[in-house]
Amino acid sequence: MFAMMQRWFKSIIDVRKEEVVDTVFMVLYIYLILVTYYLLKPARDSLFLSNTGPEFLPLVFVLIAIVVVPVTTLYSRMSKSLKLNQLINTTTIVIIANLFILRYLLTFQGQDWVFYVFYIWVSIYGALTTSQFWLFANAIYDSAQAKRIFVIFSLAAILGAFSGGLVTSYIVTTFGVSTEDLLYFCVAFLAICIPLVNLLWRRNRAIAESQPRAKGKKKKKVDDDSWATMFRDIKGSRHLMLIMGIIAMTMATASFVDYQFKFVSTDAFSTYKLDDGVVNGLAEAGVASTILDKLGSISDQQYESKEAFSAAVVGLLSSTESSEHKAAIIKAATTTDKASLTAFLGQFYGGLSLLGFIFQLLFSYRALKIFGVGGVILFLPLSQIVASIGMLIAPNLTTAVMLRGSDGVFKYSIDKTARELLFLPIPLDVKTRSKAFIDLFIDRVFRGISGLVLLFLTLQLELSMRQLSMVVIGMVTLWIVLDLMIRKEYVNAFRKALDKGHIDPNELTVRIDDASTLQHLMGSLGSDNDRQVLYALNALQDAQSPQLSAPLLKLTESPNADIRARVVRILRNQHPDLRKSLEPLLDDPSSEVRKETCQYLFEKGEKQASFLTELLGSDDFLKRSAAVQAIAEYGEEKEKSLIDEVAIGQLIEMSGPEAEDSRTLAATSLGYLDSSRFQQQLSDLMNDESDKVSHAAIASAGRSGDRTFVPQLLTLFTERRHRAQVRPALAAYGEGILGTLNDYLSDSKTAFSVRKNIPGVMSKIPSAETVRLLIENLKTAAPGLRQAIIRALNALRNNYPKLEFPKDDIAAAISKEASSYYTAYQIAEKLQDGNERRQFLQKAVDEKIFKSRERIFRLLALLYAPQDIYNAYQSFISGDRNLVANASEFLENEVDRDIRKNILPIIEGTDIVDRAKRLFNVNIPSEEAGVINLLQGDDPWLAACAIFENADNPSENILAEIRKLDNAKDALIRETAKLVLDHS
Amino acid sequence: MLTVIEKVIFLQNVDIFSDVPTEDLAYLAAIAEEVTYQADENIYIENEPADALYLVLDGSVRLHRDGEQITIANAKEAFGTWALFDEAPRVVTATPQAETQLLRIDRDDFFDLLADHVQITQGVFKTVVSRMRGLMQTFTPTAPKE
Repeated sequence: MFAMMQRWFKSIIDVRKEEVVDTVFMVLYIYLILVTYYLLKPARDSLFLSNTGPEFLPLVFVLIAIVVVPVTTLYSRMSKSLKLNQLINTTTIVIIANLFILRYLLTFQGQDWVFYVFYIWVSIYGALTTSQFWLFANAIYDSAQAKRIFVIFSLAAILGAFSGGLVTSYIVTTFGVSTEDLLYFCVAFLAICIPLVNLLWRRNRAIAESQPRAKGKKKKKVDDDSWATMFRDIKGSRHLMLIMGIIAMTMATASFVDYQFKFVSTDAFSTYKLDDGVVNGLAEAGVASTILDKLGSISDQQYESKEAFSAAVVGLLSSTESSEHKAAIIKAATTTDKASLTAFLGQFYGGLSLLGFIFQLLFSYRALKIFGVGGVILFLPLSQIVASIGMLIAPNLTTAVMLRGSDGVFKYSIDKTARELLFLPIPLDVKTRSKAFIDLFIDRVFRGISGLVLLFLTLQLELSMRQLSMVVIGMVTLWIVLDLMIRKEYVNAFRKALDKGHIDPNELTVRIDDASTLQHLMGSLGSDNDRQVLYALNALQDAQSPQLSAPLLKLTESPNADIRARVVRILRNQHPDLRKSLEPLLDDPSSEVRKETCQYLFEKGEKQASFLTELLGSDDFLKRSAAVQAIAEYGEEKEKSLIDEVAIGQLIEMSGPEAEDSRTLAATSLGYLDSSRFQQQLSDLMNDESDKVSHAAIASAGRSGDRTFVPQLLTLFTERRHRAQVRPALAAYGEGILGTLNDYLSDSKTAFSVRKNIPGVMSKIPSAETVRLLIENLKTAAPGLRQAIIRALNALRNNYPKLEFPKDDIAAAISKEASSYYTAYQIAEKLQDGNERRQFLQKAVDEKIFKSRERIFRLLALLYAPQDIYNAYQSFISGDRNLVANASEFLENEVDRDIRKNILPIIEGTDIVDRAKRLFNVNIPSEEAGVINLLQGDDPWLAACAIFENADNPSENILAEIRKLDNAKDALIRETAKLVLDHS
Repeated sequence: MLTVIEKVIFLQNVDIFSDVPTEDLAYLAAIAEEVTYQADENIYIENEPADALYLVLDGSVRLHRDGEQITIANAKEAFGTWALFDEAPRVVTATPQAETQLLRIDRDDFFDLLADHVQITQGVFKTVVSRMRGLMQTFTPTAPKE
């Protein structure tokens, strides 16, 4: 029961032991700020509304937008020269000083400007202090922590806002404090924040200062213009631009929604009736009796909605009369039940705070875990669009409550948390400069602008509630588009962070279709560095230029045979006839040079068959081999017919010091000739005692495409010395041998060394069938083979990006691998420290965990961008706190939910045992159960280690399991079991 | 005669194999041959071509040059390690102090194995690079880590 409650609590609030102190301080910090703000806010509203009146509110909104400009400029300048803690301390001290000044100004009660100043100041104060708090939180928490802990801060903020009012009333009623004197309490609360911030800074200074900063040249101008810097930051960051757009749309929509709600709720508690008293009042106000007579038909009729009453009035009057007097008539005829309205609003706002609090407490963290930041930022706009459609269909109190309610519940809970998380990928210095601008300026300015637009739409264009709903739907649609864009951008930001240092090999390719490149490459031909020369020759292999012949001819004297052979090959493409100069190379010690020279002489000599016949009949082995090689590799059928069984037989049978070279030449040549004529010879050469010969024969078998060699080639996998040659030879057969390869791969009776090498071959045969067969085998393969299969799939994915990989099968494989990971993890947890054998087993289990995790990432790379997953994996295993957090955040946003839920604990490194039980029903209750699991498992190495570890005094249950393994198929298990059983 | 797993237990103590996963050490164990030398019977002599690494299973081996003892290799200690990586002749002579059992890994077999087991190559590289970094930092304290 306790464990269940603990798990439930953890699913809501997840704070690690080492984070508790900082989190408590941060909670206190945000709570104090919000309590202070909600102490000041009612004071601000009551002082302003009672002394100047609500009709001046739009004006004060515009004034706030204007005043915000210099405040943001000043703040931004300070942020450039001060450290974050210094910035917050300075701001707090300035605010405290301001509060004393404001308290003094409030003694001038007769001056209206004082209330304007106070209203503007409080509005900016609220935005600035909360923005600073979130900036601070961004600096000391990484993305993984932020996702867990920011939810709690939002919760504390809601609680602060909720209890701020209560604190106010408590202070006022208990201590009899005047509204103006509440400012002193604010001073006290803010004073507590200063040591809190300094304490937090001291504890987290290293982390905050290790946060990545934006790269770029240092500013030359010390006194750079703050606005220009901010705009440059924002303009240079698509991410910041989108955040700015989202906040602008959030605030603009909020103003419209607030208006709609207030309008509808006031209407709901109002009635409209032209009784005698109203008519007399209108007459006294100067409304002509002819107009009042026209309204006679609706006098004493009570209307329940403003819209219906307005329509009735408009229907009875001319358009001129209506435009002149409608507003006055409606105002006079309206009776609002103020007590009911106030009670309703009180209940509504109270309920809203409570709902927001409950939502934040119970669902925010889980929602973030399930949907990620990208999904959660859609909650508010989607709820707004649904409620606005409701308002469009039926604009009544219920839909208005839904509209404003969803705004109130989400905006200050999960949406606020998600919006703050969006800032995480931004470098700290850019964030420090731009966050206050976005939070202060954009927020307030867009509230001001939307207030003006609203005035225009309602007073000038007289839009109805339905029409306003359509405007809101349009705005929210734009908002959703921005959310979807930032969702992609957010993941990209982490992807870029993980991708640092990656070089695209494609960027290293060279184009030689311009004169300067050609000149440069020709210059490289004279280099003393052979690698440089070879690189230039490689780049020039298809080039044609009269300028090339001279430097190339010079290179035929190079001591490097590879250079000489390549030079002759390139010269074949050049025009000048250099036969006389090249003829001596027929005696070159390198067979490659001789072959190329032979082909050069044959081609430039107008392909005379007599030239080849003469060489084939030569007593000089060097010349004869050059002809055989050249014909085999470059010859057409009529030239190939010149080589017969006798010629090949002579090469194979040759004795003396050139025997090995001769057999190698035969083996190589057979790959180009009709294999049906030389099957036996090639088969024998594959088993030649000389590796040089057998490797040439293996390559020829692959080149021949003759499938009768496939079983022999597969058998050669059992010999380690041949493996590197067998793989490409088999791959050269292509799709035609996939069935055979699959038969060997899936046959458990085939030698493991053969099976293990087959996926590597298949990875060189790109086709949908290859993918299908590999995935099919993945379902049943043991870990060792699984690793080889997954590697092969990775190679296919990397080299042939157009191949499709079935998501469901890969997801199932990831799930299976995750289950294996959780099992190994639980076993590792249960294994107590012990002797050397125990330590050895622990090491083997740890390695299994590591390999399992690697396989999970490899499988992920089949479904998502391989380079991104690779970077995430490297970050993940680096142990670097920020890199791990970035990788975790990237994966949480990139990976589909159904896959993510299985691997989330692995990514986060938390709750592994608990989740393993819930997700996969994996439960290793004891050390003995762990060992038995290893003995019964599909990993022969772990089984052998587990047997070995129990050599001394195994328990009865373990001994019984070891006895079963005495006749295991795996030789290693058998051997180890025998060792233990003999011993016991 | 040691089993594969027993050989792995010994091999994991060899510095150069410390980062090779145990499962892959089993492949190495398969090419590791048990050999026995009597006291004073030279295992190899200074300036001889180096062709194998040795690991002491039981006994001890004296490594000496020009009659001067350089060090003693005891049980679980390896000697001749660098023979796996270059063909330079032996710089010392190895002689058992008493009858000694050794594990011998032939260089050619080792390279064959590396060609086929990338994990072993990775593990060996990791250790070699780590040693090089250590050396760089010893001689140039300000040398960058990467």
